[in-house]
Amino acid sequence: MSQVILNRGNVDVTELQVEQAGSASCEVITEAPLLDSTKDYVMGCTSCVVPLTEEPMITYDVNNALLFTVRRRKHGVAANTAADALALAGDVQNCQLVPGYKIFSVTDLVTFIANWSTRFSNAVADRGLSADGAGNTINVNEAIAANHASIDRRANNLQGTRLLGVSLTPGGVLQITGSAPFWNNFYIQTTAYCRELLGFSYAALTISWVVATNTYSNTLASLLAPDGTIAVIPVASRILLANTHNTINADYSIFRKTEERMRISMEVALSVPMNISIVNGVERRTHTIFSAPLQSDIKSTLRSDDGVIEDTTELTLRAFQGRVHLLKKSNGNVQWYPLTSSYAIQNSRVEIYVTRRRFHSATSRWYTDRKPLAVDPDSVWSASLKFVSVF
Amino acid sequence: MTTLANINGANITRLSFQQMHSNACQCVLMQPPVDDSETNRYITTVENLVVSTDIPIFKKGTEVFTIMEVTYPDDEKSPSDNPWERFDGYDNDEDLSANRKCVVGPVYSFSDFVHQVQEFCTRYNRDITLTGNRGRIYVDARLAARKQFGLQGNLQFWSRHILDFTNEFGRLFDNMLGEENYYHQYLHNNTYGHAKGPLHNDQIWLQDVTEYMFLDEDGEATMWDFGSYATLAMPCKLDMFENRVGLQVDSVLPLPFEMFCVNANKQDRNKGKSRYAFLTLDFPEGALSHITRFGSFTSDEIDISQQVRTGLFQLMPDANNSVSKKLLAGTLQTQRYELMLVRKVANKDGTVTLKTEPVEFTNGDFWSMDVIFTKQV
Repeated sequence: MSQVILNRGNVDVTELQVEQAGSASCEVITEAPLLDSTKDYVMGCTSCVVPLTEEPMITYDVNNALLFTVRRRKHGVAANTAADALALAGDVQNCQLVPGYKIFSVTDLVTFIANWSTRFSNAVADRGLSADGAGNTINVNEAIAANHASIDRRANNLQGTRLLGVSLTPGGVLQITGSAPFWNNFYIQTTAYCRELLGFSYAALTISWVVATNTYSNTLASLLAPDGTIAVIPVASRILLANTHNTINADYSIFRKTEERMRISMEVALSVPMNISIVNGVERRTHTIFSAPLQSDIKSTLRSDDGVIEDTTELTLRAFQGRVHLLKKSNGNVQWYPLTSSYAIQNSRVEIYVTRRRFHSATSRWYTDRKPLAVDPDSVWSASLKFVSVF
Repeated sequence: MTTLANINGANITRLSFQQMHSNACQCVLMQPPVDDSETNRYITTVENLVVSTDIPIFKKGTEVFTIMEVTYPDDEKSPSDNPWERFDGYDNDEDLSANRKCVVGPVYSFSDFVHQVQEFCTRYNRDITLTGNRGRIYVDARLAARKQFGLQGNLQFWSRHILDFTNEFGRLFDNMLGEENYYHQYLHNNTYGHAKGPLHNDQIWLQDVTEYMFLDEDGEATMWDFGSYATLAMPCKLDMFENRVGLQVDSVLPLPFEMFCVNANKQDRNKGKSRYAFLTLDFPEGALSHITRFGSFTSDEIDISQQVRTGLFQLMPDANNSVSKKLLAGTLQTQRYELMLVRKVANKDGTVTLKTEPVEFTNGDFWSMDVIFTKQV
């Protein structure tokens, strides 16, 4: 926390306004020296506006594209092998991020997953289920005709049962809700990235009704027999269609790790001494003069009806998209840095960086990745730098 | 309260820390950022403290209460020496239907809590595996709008059920019946002020349970004068269930001790204690808003909206803060900072105390801050 005094005799104030289109880097060459070389200066960034259209919340990585795979819970077959694989047209059994779909907010991500769950549910409903795979039906444990209301939401004028869907709690915890036919006949295999991103702790998402203890279980032990095959569940022990305990909650809020963009920072090619950065315990020097986090701004709204809380809820959150004001001149939050020398400053460079946390699929660890901001050729970023002399 | 950057000799020195996977960041610098002989002439402050992690109020799998069904003597179940066997399956948790046990978490706000309990109520109301005249329950929205928790049930529910609370929640609520390990609530008042006592006494418990289930001597609900539904309000000792009070940053900087006067309750008169502290911040508030609906007429329903505090948030902006501290003589070559969370914890004796615990950081979580040293001139 520091301020500068401007109304003191002989204090020199110089402002440099930078605007750059199509590039994260701006080269500055002035006709005359920028500062009075007989004075010492402090400098700070007083405003910064950047375009984030090319920097979505989650970047596409081919190694981390797959989130879920739905597999058949076919009794007696070896789990997680070709024997329980499900093949639907267009590989809709896989929930996979696609390169063209830019995700700028949790709403984008959840909508994408919800859209996938609808396409998956419709694809299964169109084929129907059977215990022998006759015709084009899916070979599972129960026989349900194609487009039957118990598996097809579209049946009876949208009065049918939805096979699979997703939801959020007001705190942002992802919920996967499957109907009884879904959990009786399918299970979901998650990838390490999916578990980290969405907060699930199990490699296989499943729900079983444990008759012996009169409880529900979502552990792998309830899915598999001791020999590794999918356990055979008697008809009497299957989850009933009208049962309501069919949701799996994530372990933590989806807001915890979905925002990859840790900060946007600005570097200048000027002599800024004693500016030390310690990243994970390692000391290094830096020319960063400004950095701003992209803060979560989430609001949940509960509706009431007839004096009781409704099940539906709304989440409102800020999407960092388009031109984003990281620092406004009106808020006065400036970090001041002393310059070592003010002599003959005629050329410099200002560069914007984005620091992301990214998931390494081979090690299952997150790491930081700092790169120049991707700027669309038609987009412009701007910044103001202020130089104030020392008295 | 500020320092001046453009004054000769201020010698602003800045250390930027960024730490992943851990609540502690440390480094022995190649050389001290400030000469050891001059340390006591410096002011230190913090800018740009950013935390990205997951700090729920209640963790996943937190059990709130279990709905226990009363077995009446008329139901011809054999009496037992164990008083709790009066309630279906209480002696063995595994026998309980999952839809009778209200489990929440992770919970990030009051509205999140009431919504998760309402989800449980919906499952309970709809579950066809629960047999008998089980009644219906809901979370009372009008109480929720007043930052209180209350459960609304109909005659069928309140005449046959009690709510058995875990110790964690039994301690949190005011006016809870029973005691440690036996916290419970049931509708025990009518509009005429007739009240029944707690059920924690085993001897009384073995007597006629109908006496305690808001019924008359014949087991009839003749005293029910609430209409369709009656609400049981449960005031909470925490402000809107918020137990995250503050965040602390501990350090090894040479700083003078500070005075702390923390009293757990109104009877507590502890003297102030000197304690080492670098930075103590309030946890960001989860501001609650009321929403009124109106068209031609104003609705009698109040919707509530609340900020959710999770994900990435900036606890300390770049400037204009008041956390500056004067350093003592010492060295700054070794830097170590640790992020701690201060929680409100309800104790067995009814008091509420503050407990400091490390903030949980797992793979991918991070925090960062800038520590500034400015010389006195």
